[in-house]
Amino acid sequence: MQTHDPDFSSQPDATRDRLRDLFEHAIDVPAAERDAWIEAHLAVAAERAALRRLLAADDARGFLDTPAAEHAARLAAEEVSSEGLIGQRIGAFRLVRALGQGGMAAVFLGERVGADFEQQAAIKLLRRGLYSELEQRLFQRERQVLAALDHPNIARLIDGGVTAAGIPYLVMEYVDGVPITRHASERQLGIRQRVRLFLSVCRAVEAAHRSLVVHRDIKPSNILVTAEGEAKLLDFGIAKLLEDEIEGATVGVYTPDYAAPEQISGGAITTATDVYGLGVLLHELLLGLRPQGTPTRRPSSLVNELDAQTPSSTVRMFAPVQLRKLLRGDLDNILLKALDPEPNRRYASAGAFAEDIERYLGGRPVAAHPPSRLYRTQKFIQRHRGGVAITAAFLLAILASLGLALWQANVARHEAARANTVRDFLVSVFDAARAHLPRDQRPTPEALVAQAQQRLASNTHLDAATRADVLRTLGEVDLSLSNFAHAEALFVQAQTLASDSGDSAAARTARVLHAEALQRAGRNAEAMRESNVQLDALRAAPSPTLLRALGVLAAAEMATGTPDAAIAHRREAAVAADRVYGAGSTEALAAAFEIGNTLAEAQRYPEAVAELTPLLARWRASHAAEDDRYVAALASLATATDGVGDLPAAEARFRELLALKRRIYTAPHDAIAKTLRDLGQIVARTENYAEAEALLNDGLAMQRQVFGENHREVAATYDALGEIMVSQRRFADADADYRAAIAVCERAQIKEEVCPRARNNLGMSLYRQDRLDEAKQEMTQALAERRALFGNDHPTVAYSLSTLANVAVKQKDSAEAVRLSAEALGVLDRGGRGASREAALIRNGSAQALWLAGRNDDALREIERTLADWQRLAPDAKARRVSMLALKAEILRDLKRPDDARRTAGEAIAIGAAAAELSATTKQLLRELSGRSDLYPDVATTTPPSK
Amino acid sequence: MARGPAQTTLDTTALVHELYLRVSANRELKFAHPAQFFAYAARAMRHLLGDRARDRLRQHAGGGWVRTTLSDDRQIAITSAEQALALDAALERLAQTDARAAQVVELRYFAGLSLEQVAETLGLARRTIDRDWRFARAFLHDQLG
Repeated sequence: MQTHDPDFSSQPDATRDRLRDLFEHAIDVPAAERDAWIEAHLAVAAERAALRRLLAADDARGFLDTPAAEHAARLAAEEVSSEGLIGQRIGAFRLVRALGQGGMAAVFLGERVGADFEQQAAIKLLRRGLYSELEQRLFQRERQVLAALDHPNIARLIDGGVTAAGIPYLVMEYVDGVPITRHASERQLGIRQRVRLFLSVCRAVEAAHRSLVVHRDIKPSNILVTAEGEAKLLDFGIAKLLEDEIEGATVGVYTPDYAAPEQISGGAITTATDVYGLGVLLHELLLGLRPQGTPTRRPSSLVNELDAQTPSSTVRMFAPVQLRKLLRGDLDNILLKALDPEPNRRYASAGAFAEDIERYLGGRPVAAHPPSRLYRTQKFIQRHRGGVAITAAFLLAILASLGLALWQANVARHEAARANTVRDFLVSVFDAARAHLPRDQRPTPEALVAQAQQRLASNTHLDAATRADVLRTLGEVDLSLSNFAHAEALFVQAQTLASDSGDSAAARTARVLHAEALQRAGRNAEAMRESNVQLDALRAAPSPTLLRALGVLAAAEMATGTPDAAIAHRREAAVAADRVYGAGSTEALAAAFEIGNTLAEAQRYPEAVAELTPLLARWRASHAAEDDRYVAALASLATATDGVGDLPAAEARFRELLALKRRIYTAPHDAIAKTLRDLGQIVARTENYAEAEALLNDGLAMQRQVFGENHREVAATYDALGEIMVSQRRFADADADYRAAIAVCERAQIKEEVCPRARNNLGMSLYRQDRLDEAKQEMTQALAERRALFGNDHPTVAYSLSTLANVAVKQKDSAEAVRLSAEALGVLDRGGRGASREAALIRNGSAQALWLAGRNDDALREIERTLADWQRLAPDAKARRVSMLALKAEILRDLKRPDDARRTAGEAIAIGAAAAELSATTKQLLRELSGRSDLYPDVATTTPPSK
Repeated sequence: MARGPAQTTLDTTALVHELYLRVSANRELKFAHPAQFFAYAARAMRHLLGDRARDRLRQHAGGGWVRTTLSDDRQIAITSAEQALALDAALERLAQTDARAAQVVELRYFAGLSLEQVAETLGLARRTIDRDWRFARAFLHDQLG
């Protein structure tokens, strides 16, 4: 592929830079003069050759001139071509002829090789290989479950495996039959005969459900009837094997015409999904066609339109009036119940479905009732579904809209349906706009929303309610793109339209979303007002909208520093989720997770641990997917476990989180990298520095791969590495790491807290090396950066000031230290954090500075307030309390109150802090001030430190 | 196998699906700015292309699946696959010496942004981006041979 000309990349760095420079000049030189130009500017033959190659490459067309998506399309795995495989051997079978091709697999008739008996089987070859070990393990596990399914109406799984080339295959009982619908029409089965045949299918599905296998893809072509009239279900559970489980994706494998709404929306797949599939099948058996979208009316009323549309077998057999009469009533109700869009309103299981069918056949009253309320169809969207022929340019834009809508808005799974709606709508926008767009003009997601909005405005066929729906959907895309102002405008329009059309529920939903837009834009007070106004109406009938409103409130309350209210709203949402989704359901557990997440965020760690531990166990016990919500809750638990000081357990949680992420994501991945860093920081605290360093370096390497060198996360990991170096007193290494973080910040012009933090940490490292002037310089700059980023009253500003105060103390500039501490405390006071833990620690420093400045009365006042605050904030932090009391005793001594000093020292000793946690200085002081020479024999007696 | 328009349509739809799976599987990511999203999407596309190329070559090498003759289409696909992998490696090399130019390639080629949009996304002058792109394109094509 390569010629032996010296190429550009093999040149030394300096030459390379020069070559790039020369390249840029040479391209402006007319082609005819280039050779002479090159001769004139380059002396070395190898360099000349390298430049010529670059210029030749510049002129020629190449790989990059074809869009990436076109290459990707060309590389898509090709269809398995049947003729090439006939005669080949798979497992113990030889392929005889092709039976059919599907999107994901090809099916062949196979014959057992070398056996005394004749055995035929259907061999299914999956189109895509399972390359990773995990994929193969999952495939294996599922296969075992399916092999155990043994029912006369279910085609057995005989064998399966993976070929040497990594192609998975399944060997199944070969069924010689015709699809159930064809069988029914060829044999001219009557209504009751059809229902009876259907019943046997229902019972087979029930048996599978008892073994916890869901079919997921029930359709006529998967149900064959043999010459003896026996129904056999094929492909049980195969859909699950084909599903892209590794990526934790919500989009499964299904046949759109037969799929239940939750399959399309990416909701939880349960036995109710098969109940829906059975409903579609029965519908088709009875009427000769599938239900058209969401059922809005009784199936029997479709009879009149049937002969016009499809010459259905039943219609040919019966007069419309007669057929309608046969179906009206029980069969109508049974179908509507099985086909309900809400999984929990369908039959609870295939067994319950079968029993109702038996009741119908036995002339007894059926359990299904006419639904109390019919669901509005989203006809608009259906009209726009269809052939999707889009160019590469649009792919990413679609992704931007729906991908973001899914993950960033952190919407519940059932709302993924709306994201699909968005996709379909946007695809329709593309289809319309594509022809008019210049090739190079690739639309941004924002532009797409604007286009969609225009299209909507010019479309006069839509009713107000549908418009409101689409506007709301577009608003959600904007929300996910952080276009808060535009989202807000769309939600307001949607709300107006919905109220005008009398749909108060839709209006409320739009208003809640408006509140969410406000909240995410940082307008918390308005967001709370908007949500609160609607809360009572929403509470009357708990719905997903209520849950969302409560979520908005909680987020706003956290942001405005009222965690108690936020937690209360999270609790309310969890109770409501029990009612909306059913207690113990995945959604309800996910809502309860939020309580724990919020507790952890509010640093109420013991409560967070108590809340999350049993919830996570229940999630695992329910075999729900370990999805992003589980990951978030586990991360909260890990943080909280660390917060309660249980370091070994926290380490275990973080290791679990890392293993989980490694399973969910494919490395390199930034989610894995983040946990590598978190775990590294925990491990560092167990003083296992070697492993901590290795973990952080792994994380760093991964982040560089994912983000490149210039990214906030890269800077944050360098900063964390620096901290580990400081803990080991490897100050030179620490400084190098901090400087690396700062360099990333400067190169990428990052304006975030991580940058001043790294700089301030560098200052602290220099401070500990007694390089005080340099320390002061870095800290002063960090302070300026923090002020520029967050304004004057931010807690990080106070923290910077307090570290500068430390430097001043060491520099014996106690007046400056007093001034800086006071300023730091002022910052915290103005930010409403005057009584916080950080404030207490800074006040402790302030007391010390005052004492050093000889202002003993002020120092005493300050240390007494510190002690009072500390008692309230951290009654268990004994060592710190002891050192505070030691300072107080020292101040009292200097105030010439020796008795008080002795009493205070005694008080400190009585606390009973572990001697190992106290500094030598503190121990010496206490020994001296208490007058008890037997104390702390491990500390030598030296002259007490002077001021 | 003939590759008419219908085939292309199918492939493109499959591509949307595949990219979508990748992106939606990653809901932990949050993007404060569209630029971050585009950088991420470019990564996703780059990985997808690489994965497909590897799959394709594996399929090509895998015993039972090789046909005796190679059709033109298949040969083109194999060449594309090799080039896609070569591009990936060359881009790595470029990133080591000129990270910004590599970033321009990712946004321009894999995320499909116009040069104007790349300039906007990276907050750099259009002229700088033009130069980076022209040089990077020549460099990469040269490397691909």
